[in-house]
Amino acid sequence: MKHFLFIYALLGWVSVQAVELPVWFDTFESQQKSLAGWQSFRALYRLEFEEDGSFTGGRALKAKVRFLPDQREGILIWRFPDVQMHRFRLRVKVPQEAREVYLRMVTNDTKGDAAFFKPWTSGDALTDLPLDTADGQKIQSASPLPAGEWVTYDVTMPDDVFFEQKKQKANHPVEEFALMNAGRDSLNLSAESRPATEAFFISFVVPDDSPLFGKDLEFLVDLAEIY
Amino acid sequence: MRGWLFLTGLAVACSLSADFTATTASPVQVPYAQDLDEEMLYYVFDWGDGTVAPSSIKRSGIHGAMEHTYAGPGTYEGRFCAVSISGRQSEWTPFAVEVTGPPGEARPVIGSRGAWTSEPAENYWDAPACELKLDGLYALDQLTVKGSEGFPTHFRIEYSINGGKTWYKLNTAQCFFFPGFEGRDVIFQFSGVAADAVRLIATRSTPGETIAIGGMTLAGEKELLFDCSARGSVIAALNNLWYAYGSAVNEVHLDYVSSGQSKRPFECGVSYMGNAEWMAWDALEFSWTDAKELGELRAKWLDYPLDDDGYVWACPGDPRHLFHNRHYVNNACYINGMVHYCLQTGDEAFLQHVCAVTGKTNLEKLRLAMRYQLENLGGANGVLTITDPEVQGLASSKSGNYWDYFKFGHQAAYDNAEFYRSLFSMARLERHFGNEARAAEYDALAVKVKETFNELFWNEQTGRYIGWIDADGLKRDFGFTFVNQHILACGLAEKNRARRVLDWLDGKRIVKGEASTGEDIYHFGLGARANTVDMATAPELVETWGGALDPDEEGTYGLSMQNGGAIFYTSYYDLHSRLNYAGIENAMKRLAGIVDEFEKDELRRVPSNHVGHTLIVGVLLCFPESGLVPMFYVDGILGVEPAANGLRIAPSLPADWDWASVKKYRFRGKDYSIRVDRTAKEPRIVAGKITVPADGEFVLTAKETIESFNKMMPTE
Repeated sequence: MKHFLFIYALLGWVSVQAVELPVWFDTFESQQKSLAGWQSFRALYRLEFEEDGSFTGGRALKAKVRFLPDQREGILIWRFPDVQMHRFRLRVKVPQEAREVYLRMVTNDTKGDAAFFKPWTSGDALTDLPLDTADGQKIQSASPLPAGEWVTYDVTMPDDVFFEQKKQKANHPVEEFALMNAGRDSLNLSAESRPATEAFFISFVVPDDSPLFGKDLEFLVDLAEIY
Repeated sequence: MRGWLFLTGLAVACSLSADFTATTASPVQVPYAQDLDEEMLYYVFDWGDGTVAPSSIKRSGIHGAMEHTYAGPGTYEGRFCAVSISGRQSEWTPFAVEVTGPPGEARPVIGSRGAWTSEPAENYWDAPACELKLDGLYALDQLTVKGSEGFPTHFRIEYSINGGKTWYKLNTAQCFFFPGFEGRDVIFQFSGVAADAVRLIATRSTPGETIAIGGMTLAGEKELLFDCSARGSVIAALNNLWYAYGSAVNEVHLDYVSSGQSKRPFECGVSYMGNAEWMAWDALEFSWTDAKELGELRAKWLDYPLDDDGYVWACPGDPRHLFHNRHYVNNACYINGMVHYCLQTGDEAFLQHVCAVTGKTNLEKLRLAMRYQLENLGGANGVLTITDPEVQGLASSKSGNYWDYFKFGHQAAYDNAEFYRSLFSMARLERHFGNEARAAEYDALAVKVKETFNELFWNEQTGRYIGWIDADGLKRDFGFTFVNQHILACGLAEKNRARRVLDWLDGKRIVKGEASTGEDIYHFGLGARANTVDMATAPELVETWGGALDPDEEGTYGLSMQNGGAIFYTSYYDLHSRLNYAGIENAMKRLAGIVDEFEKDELRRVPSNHVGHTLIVGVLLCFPESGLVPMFYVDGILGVEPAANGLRIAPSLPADWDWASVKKYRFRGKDYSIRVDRTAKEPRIVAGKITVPADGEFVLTAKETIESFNKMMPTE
């Protein structure tokens, strides 16, 4: 028994030591209630804080959302110090009535290029992400976020990157906002020399026949982490 | 190693035996420029005297320098490294400093505490904090945290002005992956911030582990830069508004200079901007200091371009605002800023400098700039009238001044208010040089301008001043609060009209049917909404910047700083408006509203609207003019400003203040302290310390005597 406890403790110690801590994160705990780094965009039109002891650090970010037929995407922009990230995690909850809301993310690097992360998938019930990509051709498999539950979106660089880019156009459709770049010909995601990442565009998307159009919704973000 | 140091390109003093020399009275500057895979980083300096200091956060590869003052003479072997946001660390770079001079005086200690160890962390986001509370407000100088085993790797330093109810970041002290320095002192500079408590707070913990420090010592002094008998949040906020938005000395500047902007998530204050319309404000903010920004402003002005006819360019590289079109308010701003700078500093060499661009002296350029207003813009007739077809205030026109979402033009109230101010500026300058006749001409014209202004720009129906009269003679009134505040601050309004304007702003008088009325006008607390009439009511008068600005999108009323939003600097003019026409108590009431907002978050807010724009309120980042607001303490409450015959002091102490002072005020090359004191019977100056009674008007003359006046000076 003693040997078992010793091994168990040792394993526990090893597992604690193995845990990688994020290099940058936000639990929205700041006493100053600062929204430093966070912006709302499109259907996601306002950011507030929600207090509750069950949240990480006691606070969460509350995003007010109203989807419309011409505004099927609500974007949460997170800007952070330029960093060579290799993993990103986001804990998010959409309300019970928020059926068929999809999640994906685009990064912006310091060279102005964008890279798409694969959309959130649960492993089953995969459909096509209901948002046209830059050329309206590439379709990503995705799952709608389970309504009323906390979901952790967890992606790594470069394994979960969906390669896509488009040069900025004058009069570009708003859906292409996150696709702007400085006009470079190719993304360089090699480990040797890759531009630092400076921002995420976290997109919540609904289909073009969504029953959510016009409804006032509140999405919660409890924790955002960069590794 | 030394070759590397020379290659940095920064001017540093070197000797054969050391990389740098310094004295105990002047700091050494050690240059840095590291790139860690493009990540943001900070530098850790081990000075070799037992102290260690982290720098502010920077972009990778940016050239900069870290300062340190050694307490005693000797040769010190130091080293520094860069640490990036993800924990990359550069090699240590060694350096040697030879320090001469007598041992410096010890910094006065105002508080200390012993060793501290936190509870073991449960989560990595736990944020244990070690606090040090003081017995009141102090001007903080340096915090020394003694290193120990378990020193935190991720932490920042914070301070409070209300005993720890609210904490604010010391933006220059945010560390991650901080290397261990057991037994060393880690030092952080506050540069004078007013506070009554400080703390070190962990920003990332390791579950199961504690953090510890060996103790804290805080140096500082009781006297604040801006000080008064009523010590509390108002005076603390005025000081810290200056440090955040005036000098911006404790802000994150990702590039080298303090005029360099930060970027999110390090939204910070910025000290100055070198464009014509901003330079007048830069002069107001920095002419009384010895800040390096003043030297940069002077250098930029030395050869500032004007057209042959006297039109002042918008920026050194182009006559147009943002390469878009001309702004004719540039001339007045140029005159007001330069005259203020010259009378404050006594920089005769600047005025006599022959401009490399125009071949004229700066004094000649000033007179030419004024002549352009008088002749080319018709100001001699009593009102500036713009003839440029692009700036006619019509639907087909472009913007006309700083407020560039609107097509101010042809005859604009804002431009004419600055023109009115510039007449006094030139009168002061000419009087300073003994040209009384020319000064009197400007004074006389100012009377005419005031009359004309009130005839043209008053709107009896709304009880306020309009924005502009377009080339077709139509009067445009969007309920511009900033225009009205500017007019009242200039002293252009007739008294009964000023009262009607203030009643409208304060919500006592409702202008029916407008987008904002009553208390809602001060919805943002830090200042009034820019306008009370939605610009979407006349979209043809909105400058869309080639379609980039949509009044129904980012320009939506209340969601745009220029349409129902607020820009903080306007509060400077608001406070002066109230002081001029409603008295100091009315101004202090408004100031209290600003302080209430400041206490929440030091106004570090950049809310975004539904299109991602973070320009609903303009305080941080590209708004160096925010630093004007604490200047109200200097030129409003203390009433100190340069005049033709010396330094004018015309105080307006609030009723519950017995005295007020500014600790260090530079005038014509000398540093003074100035105190306004109700108990003083006569003005006096002793060894650079000026004391004047609370009532009256006084002038510090060139002979360093103080003269009393019973009435306003002629130029005022």
